[in-house]
Amino acid sequence: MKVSRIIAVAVAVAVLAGCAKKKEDAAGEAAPSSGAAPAYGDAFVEGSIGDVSGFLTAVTGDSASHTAAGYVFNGLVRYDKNLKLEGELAESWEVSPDGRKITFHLRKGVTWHDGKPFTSEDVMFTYRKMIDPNTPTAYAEDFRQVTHASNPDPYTFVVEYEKPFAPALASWGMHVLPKHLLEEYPDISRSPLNKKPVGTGPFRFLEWKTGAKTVFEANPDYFEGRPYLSRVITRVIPDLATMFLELKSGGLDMMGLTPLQYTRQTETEEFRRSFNKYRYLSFGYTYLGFRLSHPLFSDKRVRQAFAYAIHKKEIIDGVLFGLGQEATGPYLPGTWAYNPDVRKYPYDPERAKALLAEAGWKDADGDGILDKGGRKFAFTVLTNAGNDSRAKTAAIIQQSLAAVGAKMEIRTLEWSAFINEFVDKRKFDAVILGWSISQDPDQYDIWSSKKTGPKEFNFIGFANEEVDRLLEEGRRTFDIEKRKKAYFRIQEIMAEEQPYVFLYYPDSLPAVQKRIRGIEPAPAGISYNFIKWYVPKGERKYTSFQP
Amino acid sequence: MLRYIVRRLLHTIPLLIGISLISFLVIHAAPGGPVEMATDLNPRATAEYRQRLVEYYGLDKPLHVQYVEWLGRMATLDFGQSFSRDGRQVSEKITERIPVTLGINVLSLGLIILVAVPVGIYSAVRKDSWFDRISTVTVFTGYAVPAFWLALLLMILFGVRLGWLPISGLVSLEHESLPFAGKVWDRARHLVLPVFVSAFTGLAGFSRYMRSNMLEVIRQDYIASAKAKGLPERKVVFRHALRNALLPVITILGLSVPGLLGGSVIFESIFAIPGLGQLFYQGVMARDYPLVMGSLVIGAFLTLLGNLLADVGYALADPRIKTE
Amino acid sequence: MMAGSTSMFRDFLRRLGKNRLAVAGGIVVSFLFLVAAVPSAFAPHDPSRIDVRNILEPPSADHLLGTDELGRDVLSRMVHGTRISMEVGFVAMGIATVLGLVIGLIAGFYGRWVDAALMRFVDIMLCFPSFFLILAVIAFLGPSIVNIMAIIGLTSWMGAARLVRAEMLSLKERDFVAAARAQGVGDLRIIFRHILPNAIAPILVWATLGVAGAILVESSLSFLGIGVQPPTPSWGNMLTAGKDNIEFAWWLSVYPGMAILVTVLGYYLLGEGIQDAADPRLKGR
Repeated sequence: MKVSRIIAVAVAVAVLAGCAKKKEDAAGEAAPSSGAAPAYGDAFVEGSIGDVSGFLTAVTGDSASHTAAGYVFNGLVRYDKNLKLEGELAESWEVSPDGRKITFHLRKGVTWHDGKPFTSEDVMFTYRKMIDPNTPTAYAEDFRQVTHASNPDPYTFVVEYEKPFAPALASWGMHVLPKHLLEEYPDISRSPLNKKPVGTGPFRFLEWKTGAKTVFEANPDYFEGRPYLSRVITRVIPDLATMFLELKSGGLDMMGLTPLQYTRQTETEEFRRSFNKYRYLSFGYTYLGFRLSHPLFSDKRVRQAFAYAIHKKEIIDGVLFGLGQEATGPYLPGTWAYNPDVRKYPYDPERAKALLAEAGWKDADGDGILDKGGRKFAFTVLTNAGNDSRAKTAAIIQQSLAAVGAKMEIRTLEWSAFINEFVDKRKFDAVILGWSISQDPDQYDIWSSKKTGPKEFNFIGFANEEVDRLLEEGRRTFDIEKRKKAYFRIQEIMAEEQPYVFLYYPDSLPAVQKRIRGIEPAPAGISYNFIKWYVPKGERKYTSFQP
Repeated sequence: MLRYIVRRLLHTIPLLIGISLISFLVIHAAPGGPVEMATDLNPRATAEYRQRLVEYYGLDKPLHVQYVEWLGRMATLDFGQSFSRDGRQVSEKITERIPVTLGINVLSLGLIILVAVPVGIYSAVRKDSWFDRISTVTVFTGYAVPAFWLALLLMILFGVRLGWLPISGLVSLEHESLPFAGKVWDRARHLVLPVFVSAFTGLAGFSRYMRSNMLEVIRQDYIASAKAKGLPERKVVFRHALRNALLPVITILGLSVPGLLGGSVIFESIFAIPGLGQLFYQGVMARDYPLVMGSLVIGAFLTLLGNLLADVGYALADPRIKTE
Repeated sequence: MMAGSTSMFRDFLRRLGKNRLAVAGGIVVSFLFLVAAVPSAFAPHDPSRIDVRNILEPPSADHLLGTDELGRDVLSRMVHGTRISMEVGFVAMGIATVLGLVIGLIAGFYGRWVDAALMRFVDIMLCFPSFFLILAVIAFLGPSIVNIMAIIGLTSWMGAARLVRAEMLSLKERDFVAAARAQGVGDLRIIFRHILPNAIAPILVWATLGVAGAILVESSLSFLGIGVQPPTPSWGNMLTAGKDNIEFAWWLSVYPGMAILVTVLGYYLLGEGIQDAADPRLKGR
C-alpha cells in the first residue's frame, strides 16, 4: 500500500505529467529514436494495483482514479515537459498587474466526446460545482479563494481573487466538467458520468469492468490530434509479484519497477530485448518527522544530531539500490524553487553524539543507551503497514540510531488507524512517512502555524514566524523571482531547524515494452507526451482493435 | 420433508440475528471511521467536508440506534450504500462478485471430491500401505503449503517459462473478439491455475475425512459379516461401505463454504480475480463499513444455505433420518 | 483408576511409536521446540544486523541460507522466526482451548437452554468465514502479535467446544458419575477427574492441528501486509518479502516456505497419529 500525500489540486495533472527528473537521460537504457514511422493502431496495456473508484477527479482521491480520468478529461492548464505551466483547454491567459485577476482565453473548436462544443459555460459550471457544498470534493479550498468569476463570452473566463494567489493558476488544472451532462445532478458523484465519463480528452471511455479493467479508445476529434494508440487498457492486478510476472510474459506493456527489480531482476538479455527502462526523480520525498512538542525532540540539537547520525546513503543504497537522491528539504532538485545551498548533514556519528551530549544526553549508566536526569533516550517511530520501503528505512535508521545511543522502537500500523488514532490525535513520538511534492511550490498546508489543528497537515506542530511570513509572501505574488527568494529562505530555515530529517527522493523506474515508440524522457517524466506514443505498423501486438 | 425444511429455516432466524450482531460489533471495534479513509492526509479536505460525510453516513448516532436501523434494512436485504466513492448499493456490489467466487469454489470443490473420494477410500482400504502413506503426505503437503507461494511458483512455471497458461485474470484482453468456442477455451485456460491451487490446498480435509469415515464403516459388523459370507472385497466395498461413507461427505460440503470463502481473499489477490474475497479485502482496508458488514452477513448466510442444503440432501439420502 | 490410565498411556505411546509418519512428525515438532527455546544455539548471526552491502546474496559459507533484502542472515532470521511462529500458534490455540473448554463444559454440564443457547452461538461463529473475521479485526485493530494471537484464538475455539460438550453429554449420564455424585463429590472435581481425561485425546489432536493452522493464518496475514510486522522475523513475513523476488532471490522464498511446509506437515502427522493411536477401537488391519 504505497501511500503518498497529495498536496496540490494539480494532482491530476501531476499524475499524468509524471515526475521531475534531475539530469538528461535515463541511465543506460534510453528510449530508441523513432526508427519506424508513427502509425495509428495497437493497444497499450498497463497495470494498476487498485481499481478506479470513479472518473470525476473532483470527487475521487486515489491515484488510480486520477490516472484514468486523465485520459478522458482536460484542465485549463497543465505542466509541459519542462514543468512549466502551459495551456490545455485555455489557449492563453493574462494575470492582471495587481495579481488579483486571471483572464483565460479558451480554445475554440473543442468538442466533448458526445459532439457538443466546449465553452466557458462549462468552465463556469465546473467552478460552481467545486465550491458547491453538495459536491463531496476535497479540492474546494483553492476555488473558494475566488471572489468573483465571470464568463463574458463563450471563450473567455475571468476569475478574481481577494489577494494575489500564486497557486491559483495551477489549481485550474482541475478537470473541466460538461455542463450539459451534469447540470441536473446536485451531487456529481452520483451522476452516471462518474461511471461513464464524457470529456474533451485524448481518449474516450469505452468500458469499465469493476475490479478487472478499464478500456479507453482514441478520440479522433481530439484538439491536439488523434493519439496514435487506438486503445488504452488498465488491468487491475492487486499483487506486485503477479504484475511483474505479467509484464515479463507480455501481459502488460508498462510497469513501475521497484529498485530491486530495476537493478537485479531486469538485467537479463531476455528482458532487455523486450523492454526499455527509464529512470527519473519522482515528485516526492520520504522523511522522519518529529512531534516538536515531545520532550525528546523539542531541542533543535537533538534533531540535528539525528540528521548527522542517520546514514542517508546507506538508506538509499539499501532501500533504493542507489536509485534516488538524498533529500535536503521539501523541494525537488531541478525545480526552480529548489535551493541547493542549504546546510547539509553528512554522516557523522561522532558529531551526533557531541550534539546530543550538548543537549544533556550522556550514557551515565553505561548500558549503551543515552540518558538524562534518569530518563532514557527511547522512543517509538510509527509508520504504515504494507509499505516495504518505509519498513526497511525504519530498520536501517534503528540501527544507525542505536550506534549513537538512541533507542528506537518501530511500530507499524494499519493506515487508517495510524492516521486517526495517532497522527490526528498527536499521540506519536516520530513518524516515517512521505509527501508528494506539487509542482507549485506553495506548501502552506504543511508548514504554516495556522495549519496545526486536528486533521490538518502540520501535525508535527511546526511554528516559525519567519516561515509563516515567507509562506504568505510566496503565495501572494506571481513574480517568480520574489517567490524564489521566499522559498529559498524557507529551505535555509528548514535545514537549520530540521523539523523533519529529510531522507530521500526516490526515482521513478518505469519499464516499457520495446514496441512502444515516441517516448522522450524530460524533467516531467515520460508520460507527458503519451498521445504521441505509437507502435510501428509491423510490430503491432493487439490486432483485433481497429486502428 | 417440507415440515423439516421449514423447521430448519426457522432455526436459522436466530442465527441470522446473531450473525448480524457479531458483524456489527466487529465493525465497530475499529477506531477511526470511514470518513478518515476518504479524506485523510489530503491537504485539500476541509473539516466541514468531513463533518458532512459523518452526517451523510449517520455515524454520529449512538451505536444501538445504528444497529437497529441497520438490522431493519438488512431484513430487506438492503445493506446500504457502500462508503467508497462510487456509492453503489452494497448488495449490488456483492451480488455482482458472488458468481465469480462461487464459480471457482464450486469447480474447486468438484475437483476435490473427484480426487479425495477415491484417494480416501483406497487409503482406508489399504491402510498403512505405501499408497496410504504417500497420499497422506501429498495431501497434507497441499494443506501445509502457503497458497500464494504455490500459486506464484506455478505461475512462473506455466505462465512465464513455458507460456502454456495465462498468469492472471479471468479472460484475456481480446476475449470479446473470439468465437464462442474460443471464449469457452479462453475462460477455461484462465481457470486452470486458480482452481488447481484452490483444490490442492483444500484436498486434505476431504480426503482425510473420507478415509476415516471409510475406516469406521469398514469396521462395522455388517461388513465383517458380509466378508464372512464370502462376498468379494470389491463388492463389499462398493455396495455397502461406500454408500454409508458418502453420506457424511454431503455434510462436509456445507461446512466447507466458510473455509473456501476465506481462502478466496488470497487467491483472488494473487490471481487478480475480481471476486468477493478481493472486494471484502478492499472494503476492510478502506473501512467501507457497509460493505464489510454486508459481506460478513452474506458470507455467513451462504454457509447457512450450504448447511441447509446439506442437511436436506442428507435427509433425502438417508432414510433413517427422522424428518418429522 | 490411576493404574489403569498409566497402562493406557503406555499402550497409547506404543501404538504411536508404530506409526512411522507420526514419529517423523513428532521429531520435527520436538526439534522446533528446541530451536524456539534456544535460538542463539542455532543462529550463527544477529538476525537484525543490517548490512546493505550484502543485500540478497545467495547461500554461501558465511550465510548458509543467503541474505535477505537488507543483508540480514536468512538462517538466523528463520531460527528466531521459529519462536515467533510457535508463540503465535501456541498462544492462539491456548486461548482457543481454554475458551472452548469452558464453553463446552458449561454447555454440556448444564444442558437444556444453556446448552441450546451456547450451541447456537457456536453455530453462528462457525458460519463466518473465519479468515474474513480475522482479516477485518486485524485490519481494524492493528497487526500486533498480541492482536493476531488473540483473534486467531477467538475464532478457533468452536471445535474444542463441541468436542468437550460431546464428552460431557455422553459421560454425564454414566453410572460412575451418578455414583460420584451420590458420594457427594463436587461438580468441579467430577469434571476434572473423570470427564476431562477422556476428552484430552481429541482435544490434543484438535489443538495440534490448530497450531499448524495458526501458522498458516499468520502467513496469509503477512501476505496481505497485516501479519507480524518486520523487522520482527516471522516465516510468514519472510516468505512475503521473498515473493516479489521469487525467481531472483529464490532462497528467500524457498527456505521459509519449506519451513512452514515441514512444520505444518509435522504437526499434522503427529496430530493424526495421536488420533489413530488414542482410539482404542482401532485395532488396525
